[in-house]
Order: sequence, then structure tokens, then C-alpha cells
Amino acid sequence: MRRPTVSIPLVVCVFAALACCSCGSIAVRKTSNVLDYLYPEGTAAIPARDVSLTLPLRVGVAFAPGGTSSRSGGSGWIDATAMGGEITEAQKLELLERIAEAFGDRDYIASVDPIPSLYLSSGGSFENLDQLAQAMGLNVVVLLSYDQAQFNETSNWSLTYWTVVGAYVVKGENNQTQTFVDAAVYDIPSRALLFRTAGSDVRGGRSTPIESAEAVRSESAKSFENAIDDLIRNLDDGLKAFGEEAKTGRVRGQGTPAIEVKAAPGYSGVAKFENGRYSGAIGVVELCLLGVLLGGAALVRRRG
Amino acid sequence: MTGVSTRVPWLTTLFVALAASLSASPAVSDALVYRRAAVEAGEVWRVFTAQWVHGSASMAFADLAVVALCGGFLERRHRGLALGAAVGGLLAVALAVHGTQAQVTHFDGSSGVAAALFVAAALWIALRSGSGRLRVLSILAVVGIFAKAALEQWAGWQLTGVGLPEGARVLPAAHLAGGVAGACGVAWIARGRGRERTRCASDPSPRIAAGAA
Repeated sequence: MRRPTVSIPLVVCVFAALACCSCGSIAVRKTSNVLDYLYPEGTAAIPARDVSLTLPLRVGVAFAPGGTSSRSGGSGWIDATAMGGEITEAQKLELLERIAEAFGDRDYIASVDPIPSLYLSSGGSFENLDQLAQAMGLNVVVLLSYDQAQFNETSNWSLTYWTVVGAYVVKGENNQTQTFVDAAVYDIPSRALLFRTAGSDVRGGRSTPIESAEAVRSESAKSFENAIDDLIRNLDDGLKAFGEEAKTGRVRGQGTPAIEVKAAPGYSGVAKFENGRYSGAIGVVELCLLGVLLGGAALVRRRG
Repeated sequence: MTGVSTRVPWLTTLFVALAASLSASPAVSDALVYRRAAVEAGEVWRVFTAQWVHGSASMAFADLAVVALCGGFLERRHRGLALGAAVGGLLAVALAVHGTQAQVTHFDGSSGVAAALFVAAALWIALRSGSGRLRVLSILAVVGIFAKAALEQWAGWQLTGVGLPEGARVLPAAHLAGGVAGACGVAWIARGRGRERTRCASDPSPRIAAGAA
């Protein structure tokens, strides 16, 4: 009996075709930009005036509206349209609540109000902020921009996907998420940028092609949370630095608008805001030294 | 040690009682505390009165306990030195806070005066004690108080004070200034005594001469 012959070039071609079908990469990007909101195209320059802050402050915190999301690339095993997508309003509010909670207990901050994106119109500029300031009694607004890029790449393990079982058990998809969140703090009446700071997060993971879309969404949410936590730490430092800068009478040094920090009637925490509160306080070390000295003197008296 | 008088240290008692009662009233404290903007606007008294008020009860207790113990000790032995160290401490701290510490916009507490009296009392013991060990201990205490303040001031160490008000930091420059004022007070007294002794040795007074005869 004659054995069937398999052509080696044919086998190579089949494997190459399978490998090509298995490989692929998808990139998802979400962005929102505070400059597009405050200074939409065609807007005349809006010069900042001198700042007069009255403590305690009422602060609003919001994501800049008009975010966009885009996808590129493709993969034989993953539906690219199921990946990523715009950050939801619920997610945004949860992140804003985190910031509000972190800064709400400051003595010089009367309140921190998360503002839903629905209250902000795309390209609404300072007129939109003026309306909000009047409606919510805000002095200062923290506007958040973000840029999140997610990459999904199929590894060589994807050959096992053709066994079908492999697509369910082999984690051959490499996912990477990079998130950058920027906070710009504006004094609404003067249109002046008081200070800005940022937070970021980079994370990676592996998943099966079946769970890839869900893993990417979950990584996106986690990465936003971590970037916001990083931002909170940096905002804290930024706020301290701004308070110290405010003592010099300028918002951000030479050439920037002048700033005057006043206290509302009955409020006396300006020094705390400016980080200039000091006390002449005797510490434990001095008390211990005094104790040792008194003890020694008593001992000498008793003996002598 | 010699020269202990039984008189009541009323200057110290007055200082402590006044500082405690002023610190007890937030409204009064607010009018007396140091605020750079207010001082520059003409309320100059705040530079001095700030050292009589305290932002928290535990801070007042710690500061005034040191003032009471060291001031009382010193006043019973040398009222002039106690007064000199306290007034010198007040002036030195006022100068340090307003003149050299531009980052300070708000200041309160009498730790500068306490440091002045502490250093003065310790140096007084070092000069007058008959016990060598106590003299060494006193010198070490003075070195300790200066070293702690210097580490805080220049090395950035934060050895916190007792019961600081919320958001406040210790101003080690106040302790350094107070300590230097206390040391200067003792040096002044010691210098005066040294001169007196030299004068007595070289030119005995008629009374001593008559006594000797």
C-alpha cells in the first residue's frame, strides 16, 4: 500500500497562515482635553486677571467634557469594537468622589463638589464655568484631562487557540494600559490657572482571547483609579507649593498674576493654607533633658 | 549650690498665670497671635504678645511647665538673671521670627522664653554647683537643647513639639534664639562677677581692709 505523501512546503504554508491569522494587535485610546473646553477654536485670547482668593474655598472638580475614544488595528480572535470605549459617567463620578473625599477635610476648603460632565457643555469655556460658579457657589474649579492608551498584542501562544480549548485556557494576549490624568486648578472669576499637576499609571497583564475585552475594560478602570490616587498625592504637594507661592504675592512666580489671599469673616486659617503656621512648642526632648537635670540636682542635694 | 532664697518667684508666677489665662480665650489669642500681614500693617505688638498665647492646651502646658520650673529655680537665686533671660528671650524670638524667618506667617507659643530660661538655669547650675557631675550634666543639657534645635533647623529633622495645633510646625529658630539669649544673660552675669572678683583682689575695699586690721 502506498503511504500518502505530505509536501513539506504545504505544511509550512498552513502553519504560517495559521500563525498570521492568530497574530494581531489592537490599540485603544481615550482622551479629553481641558484646553479644548476652555479655549475652543476661534476663541479670542482670555488674559488672566489678578487673583483674590477668599478662604475657605468652595471647589468644584470635573472632567473636561468632550472626550474622544479611538481604536486601531485588529486581531483574528478578538472583536476590536468590544474593547475600550469611552469612560462612563458613573466611573467619572466615582473618581471625582475620591478626589473630593481626599481634600474635603482641609480647614481652608469649605467644600469640594464633584460636577457631573452633563453640567459642562463641550467648548463651553469660562462662560460655562461662570454659570456653574453662580449655581453652585464655587470659587475655584479643578478640571481633569486624561489620556489613556491600551494595547493588546497576541503572542506566539496564539497558535494553541486553534485547538479551541486553547482559546479558553491559554493566556496568550498581552495587554498594556498607560493612563495619564492632568488636573488644572483655575480661579473662575480671574480666569487664572493657579497651578496644575498630574498623576499616571502603567500596568500590564495577560488574558485569554475570550476574556480579553473584559480584561481590557477592567484594566482601564483600575488604571484610572491608580492614576487618580497618584494625582491626589501630587495635588496635595501642588496645593502646599501653591500656598507657599501665594505668600510671595504671585500665583506662580515672576510674570504671573498677583494673588491676594483673604479670610472670610470669622475664618482664621489663612496661615494654614499658606503653610506658614509655626509654633514655639517645647518638645519631648527638651522635657526629658529638663527631667534629667532636675533629677541630677535632686540627687546631688540629697547626697550633699 | 548656694544662694537659694525663700522669696516667692512672683515674676515667673505672673508670666505663667498671664500666659495661661490669655491662651484660654480664643478671641484674645486671635488678637495677640503673630500674623505677618497684621504686623506689617502696624500691629507691632503681636511680635511680642504671640509668645504669651498658645494654639493648644497641651502645648501651653509643656511650654509653661518649663517656664515655671526653670524660671522659678532661677528667680529664687538671681531675679535679675531670670528677668534678663526672659526679656532677652522675648526680644530674640521676636527678632528671629519677624526678621529672619520669612516663611512664618503665623506664630504663637512661649517656647523661646522657655528655652532662654532653661539654658540660663542649666548654665547657672554649671557655674555654681559644687558637684562636678552636676556641672557636666548641666552642660550636656545645654548642648542637647542646642543640638536638637540645630538638627531641626538645618538638617530638616522634625522632632515634633508636644500637642501642636493642627497644621502647625515647630519653629526651631525660636528655640535657638531663646537659648542664645539665656546663655548671653548668664555670660553677662558671670562677666560682672569676674570683674568684681578681679577688682576685689587687686584693690581691697576699705571695709575689707578695716576688717583685716
